[in-house]
Amino acid sequence: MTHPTREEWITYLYDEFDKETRANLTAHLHVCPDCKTTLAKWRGTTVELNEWQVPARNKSIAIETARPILRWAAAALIVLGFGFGVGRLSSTGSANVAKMQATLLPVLREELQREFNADLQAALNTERSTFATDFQRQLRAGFEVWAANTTAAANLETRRLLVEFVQSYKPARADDLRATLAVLQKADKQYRAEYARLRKDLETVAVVTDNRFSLTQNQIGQLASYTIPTTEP
Amino acid sequence: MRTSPFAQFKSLFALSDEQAMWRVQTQDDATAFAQLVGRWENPIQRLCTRMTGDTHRGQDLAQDTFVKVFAQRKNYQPSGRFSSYLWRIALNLCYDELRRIRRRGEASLHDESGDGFALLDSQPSADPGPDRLAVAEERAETVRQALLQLPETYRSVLVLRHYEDLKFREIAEVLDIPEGTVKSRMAEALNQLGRLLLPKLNDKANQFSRPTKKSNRDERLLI
Repeated sequence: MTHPTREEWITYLYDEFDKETRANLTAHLHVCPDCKTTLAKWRGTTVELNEWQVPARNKSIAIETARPILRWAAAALIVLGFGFGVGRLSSTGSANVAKMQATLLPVLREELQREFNADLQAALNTERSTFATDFQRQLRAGFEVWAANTTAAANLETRRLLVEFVQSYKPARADDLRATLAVLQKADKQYRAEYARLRKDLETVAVVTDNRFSLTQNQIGQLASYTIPTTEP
Repeated sequence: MRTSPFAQFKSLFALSDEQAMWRVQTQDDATAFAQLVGRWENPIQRLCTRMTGDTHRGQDLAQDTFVKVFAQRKNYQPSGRFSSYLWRIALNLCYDELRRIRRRGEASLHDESGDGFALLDSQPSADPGPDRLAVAEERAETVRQALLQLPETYRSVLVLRHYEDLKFREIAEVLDIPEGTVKSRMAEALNQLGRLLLPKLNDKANQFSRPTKKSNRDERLLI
C-alpha cells in the first residue's frame, strides 16, 4: 500500500485540498490505521493549541466602552416603541381614516393618471414640431461649428505647412545664391586676368608699331635726301 | 476568521491594503496608515506574542513593526501583497528579539514558575468557576511553554497556519521558501508539539481529576 506523504496529510488536515483529492485521502484513512493514527494525533495537538488564546486588546476595549451606550440606546428604543404603540392604539379616528383612504385612494389615483396622460399627450403634440425644428437648428449649428472648426484647423495646418516649406526653402535658396555668387566672382576674376593680358599685349603692339613708324620715317627721310651722284663725262 | 455582513459591505468601499500603503508611500497619508494599523494591529500583535511568549513584548513588537513600515515606506515595493510584507517585517523583528533574549540569557520565556499566567486570556465560559479557570490557565500555559520549545522556523509556520489561518501558499510567500518546505515544517512542528504536549496535559488532567484521593493519600502519609 502506498501511503500519502505527510505533506499531503497536513494539507488534508487544514482542508486545502479540492474535493476529489480529499475524498481519495479519506478513503485511504478507512483502510490504513497508521495514517489514521498520525492524523488523529495531529488533530489532538491542534485542539490543544486552541487552549492558548491571545487577547484582541482593541476589540475588547471597544466593546467594553460601547456597552453602556448600547444599553442606553436599547432602553430608549424600548421607551419610544412603547409610546408609539400606545399612541396608535389610543387614537380614535384610525378606523374612519382607513375607510376614507380605501374609498378615496383609487379615485385619486385614477384621476391623477388620466391628467398625467392628457398632459403628456398634449405636450407631445405641441412640442413635436418645435422639437424637430430645434433639433434641426441644433444640428445645423453643430455642423457649422464643426465646419468652422475643421476649416480653421485646416487653415492652421496649411499655414503651418507653408511656414515649414518656406523655412526649408530658405536655406536651399541661400545655398543657390551662394553658389551663383561664387561662379560670378570666379568669372569676374577670369575676366580681369584676360583684360590685363590683352592690355599688356596691346601696349607691346603699340610700342613695337611706334618703333617701326619711327624707323620707317627715318628711312623715308634718308631716301628723300638721297641724291644720285653725277657721273663725270 | 468570519466577518459580519456589515463589515463585508463596508469593505467594498474601503481602500485595499495595497491602495492604502500606496497612499502612505506617495502622499504620507496619515489616515490611510491609521486604517492599516487598525486592520493589522491585532493579528500582528498575536503573532509577536505567540512567537515570543509574552503579551507585552508582543505589543511592543507590533508597535515596532508599524513604526518600521512607516519609516521604510519609501522603500516599499508593491510587487506582492502588503500583508506578506507586514508579516515578514513582524517575523524578522521577532527573530531579532528572540536572539537578543538568548544573548542576554533571559530565562523568563521558559519559566515554569507560573508567571506566564498573567499573559493569558483564557475564558472558556462566560462565568467559569475558579477551578475551571485555573485548569484552563494551566493548559494554556502548557501550550505556551511547548510552543516556545519549538525551533523558531517551525513555530513561525505553525503560528501563521494554525492561529492566523494563512494558507500554506501564503506562508511560503511570507517566508520566501517552497510550499513543500512549509508543509513539512508544519508536520514536524505538530509531531514535536504532540510529543511535548500530550504527556504534560495528561498528567495535569490526572492531577485535577483526582484531587480527593491525592489529598487523602497525603493525609495518610502525614499520619
